[in-house]
Amino acid sequence: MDEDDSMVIDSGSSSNANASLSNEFDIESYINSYTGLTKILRLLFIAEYSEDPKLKSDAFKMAASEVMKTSNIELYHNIVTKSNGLIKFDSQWVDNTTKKNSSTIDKLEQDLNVAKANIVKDSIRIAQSDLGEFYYRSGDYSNSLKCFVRTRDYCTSSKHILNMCFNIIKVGIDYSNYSHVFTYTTKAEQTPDIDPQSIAKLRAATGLANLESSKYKFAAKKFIETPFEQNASVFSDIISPQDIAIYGGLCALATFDRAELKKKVLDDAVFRNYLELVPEVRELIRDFYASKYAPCLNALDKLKPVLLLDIHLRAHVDNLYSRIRSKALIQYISPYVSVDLVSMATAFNTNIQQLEREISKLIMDDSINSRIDSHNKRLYSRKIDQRSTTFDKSMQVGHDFISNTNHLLLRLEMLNNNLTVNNGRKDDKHGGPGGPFGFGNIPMELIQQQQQMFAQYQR
Amino acid sequence: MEQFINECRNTNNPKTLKANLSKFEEVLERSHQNLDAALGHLDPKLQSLGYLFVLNAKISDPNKNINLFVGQIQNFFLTFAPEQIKVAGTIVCRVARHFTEYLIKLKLEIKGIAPLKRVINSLTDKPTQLTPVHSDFLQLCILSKNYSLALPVIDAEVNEFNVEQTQINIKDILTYFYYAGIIYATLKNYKKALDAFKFVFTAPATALSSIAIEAYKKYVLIHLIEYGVAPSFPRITSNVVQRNIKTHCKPYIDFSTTYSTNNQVDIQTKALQNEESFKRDKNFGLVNLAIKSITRRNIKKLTQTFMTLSIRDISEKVGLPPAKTEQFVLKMIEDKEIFATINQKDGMVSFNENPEDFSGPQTLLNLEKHIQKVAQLESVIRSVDETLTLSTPFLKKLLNENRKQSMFVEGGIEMDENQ
Repeated sequence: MDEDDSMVIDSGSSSNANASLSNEFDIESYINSYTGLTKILRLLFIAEYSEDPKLKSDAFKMAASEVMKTSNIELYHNIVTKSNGLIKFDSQWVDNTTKKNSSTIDKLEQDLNVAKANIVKDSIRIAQSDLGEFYYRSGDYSNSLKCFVRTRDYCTSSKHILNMCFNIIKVGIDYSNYSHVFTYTTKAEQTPDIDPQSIAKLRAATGLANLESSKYKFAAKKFIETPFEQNASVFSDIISPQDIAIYGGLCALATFDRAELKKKVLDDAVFRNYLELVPEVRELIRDFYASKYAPCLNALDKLKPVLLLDIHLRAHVDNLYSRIRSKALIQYISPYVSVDLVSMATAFNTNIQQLEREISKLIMDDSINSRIDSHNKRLYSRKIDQRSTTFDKSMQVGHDFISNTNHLLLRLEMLNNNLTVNNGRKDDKHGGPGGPFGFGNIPMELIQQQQQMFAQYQR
Repeated sequence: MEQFINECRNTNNPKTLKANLSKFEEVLERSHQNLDAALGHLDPKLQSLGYLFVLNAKISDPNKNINLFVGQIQNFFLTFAPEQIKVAGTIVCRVARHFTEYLIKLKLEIKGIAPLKRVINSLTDKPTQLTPVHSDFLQLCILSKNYSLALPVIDAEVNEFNVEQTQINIKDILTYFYYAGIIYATLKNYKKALDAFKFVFTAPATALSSIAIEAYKKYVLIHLIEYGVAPSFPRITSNVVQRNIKTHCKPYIDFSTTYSTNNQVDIQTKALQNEESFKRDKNFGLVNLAIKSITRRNIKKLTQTFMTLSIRDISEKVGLPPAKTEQFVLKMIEDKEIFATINQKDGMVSFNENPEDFSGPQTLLNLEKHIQKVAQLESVIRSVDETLTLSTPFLKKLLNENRKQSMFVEGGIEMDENQ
């Protein structure tokens, strides 16, 4: 039944693929799923890395108009310089905002002082948090982090703690400081009676942090564990639901084995909701699972230009892609004793030379155990003679053991006789036999070594 | 002097004789001009001990004829009676050391190999015993390029020495292993060479010795040749060595880091950059071998990847001209490094698996030998363990610890009672 299902969808997938996430990248609808600083940062990222001039200018314009809604002067400067004259510098806005910023800071700091003078925990927390929020909005990363961390001492309920954690996580992600994200997501997850929305946000944040530190398997797990959230605005200042599907899907594809892929990704009731948002990814995972590698790899190639415009994924696209490709190759080969390279090349949409090179690379790093018959263009799986390898190994171990033991005995004898390399003086004289210390001078380390040696023996 | 000769002739027990002769040492040192005459009166075979004492005294004679002296020692070493000289190990070693130095000065190293071999055999009860003469012997073997003659000695895998008999010192031990490493390396037995060099810089140490530094340099290079990666320190390496040795062999560390990147061009340039210091250490040959071993390793990898591959493809993959590649592959087949056949008609090389299937009498014999060795080792370890556990300091320590423990327990109980 499952087969039929995938077949039907398969026929529709090619037309479907062009719709929402295709070469014609719809920046408007893409960016509307984000809010806050990440929206501007993503726009700027697209503007910087896009090769399409129209997209570039659109992105710059949108970024500039977004940033002018905030008080982040530094980011505005940044956008203007990077746009190479596309955006006109609005000095009036900058002046106004600077003035407004300084008066806001004064006000907020005064609030904080008042709160501190009154020693009301909660109002200190709110004032501190407001100040942090303001710094965050105006682009002062280190100060905002400082303020948010300070609120920690004034948290009285688990809701406060969660709040503080989310603030820090937000700052951490937007300014690529992922160690904070790790610490505070763990901390947040430990708070009692946490609501499902927060869990979703936390999982997504952890997944993102794992992705950024190239721990793809953990990232995939976290994304998949993210509870489905109808209300996208819950985490729109970090990530969009579509992103969760794409990030999670690709990471899973790159690291999960077939069984895991089926059980945890395709059949997972929660994650399926996310996948529905990005049918292309769902289809390519399905193709991969059904061993239809050519359409799967084609779809991946089609997705690539869009993924390269993603602020978090760009650095990892190539890495993930090559992993997925190697996995596909390995999976393709695994059931066969011998494989015809010609038919394999067609299945993977490549020529034989290219394929041979890829396979030989995989063999060299021990990912597959077979050998290529380059003359007849075939691949044979290799049967390892366990007996020979065992013999070989045990001979080697035996040899190593004998030589190590001999050296150890000699060391023991040297220490017994106080014959060690030491500073000058004693070096050219003959080390006295036994010395005044005799056995008494044997360091404990040596006795331990000897005991270890015996342990080896008894094994 | 006559008294001395009479003493030599009349006393039979080597131990008493040695005690008696020791009194004459000063006399002998003072009468340098009479020593040759004394030697004439003594028979090296019958009065070995006396002969030895005279030779020993002659070392300090500034006016002696070196050629004659070397001849005398050589003759003596080939004819002495082992049971006599055994009691005077220290003196034998001293004479042997000077003998070696003279030979090196005269560039007659080959002359000393047989005599020193005999000295080693007579001084040791078992082949696993180490003496200072060992390192002299190896030095002569290396200088006269008779590497294989040293093999029976270094293959014996020493694990003990007799300090009272030979007054062996740390330098003798370290140089022995250093030389052994050099010999194994020249004979291309890299695994054993690594073992030997490793011992030099992992020997118990509270200071860094230059022997250890030189050994470490060679160790790094040979490790690259054999395994293709930079080595790490074994756990037993003393802290002083681990901390300081790298500053003394910077070019080598640099080279090994570059080597690990597997980029042939970078490796070549790095080698040339440091050519001077490598040449100064006489290690440039090893450096070149290390570079060459990259190709070897690459071809070896290809054999695991391919069943058949044309010479052209191989040369493309390892970056050598085709004609040279064929030679290279041929050489590797001859060295039994790879198992393959070259078909010159269509230029294909078919790689085979290792035909060794570990059956038949040879394997059994090998196993037997190994097991015997291990069994021997076990008896040695047992006896060492026995001496150690029966030694007074060890027992004292054990007793102290027991007492401490029981005191602690008693203390604990008292505390409980107080509560």
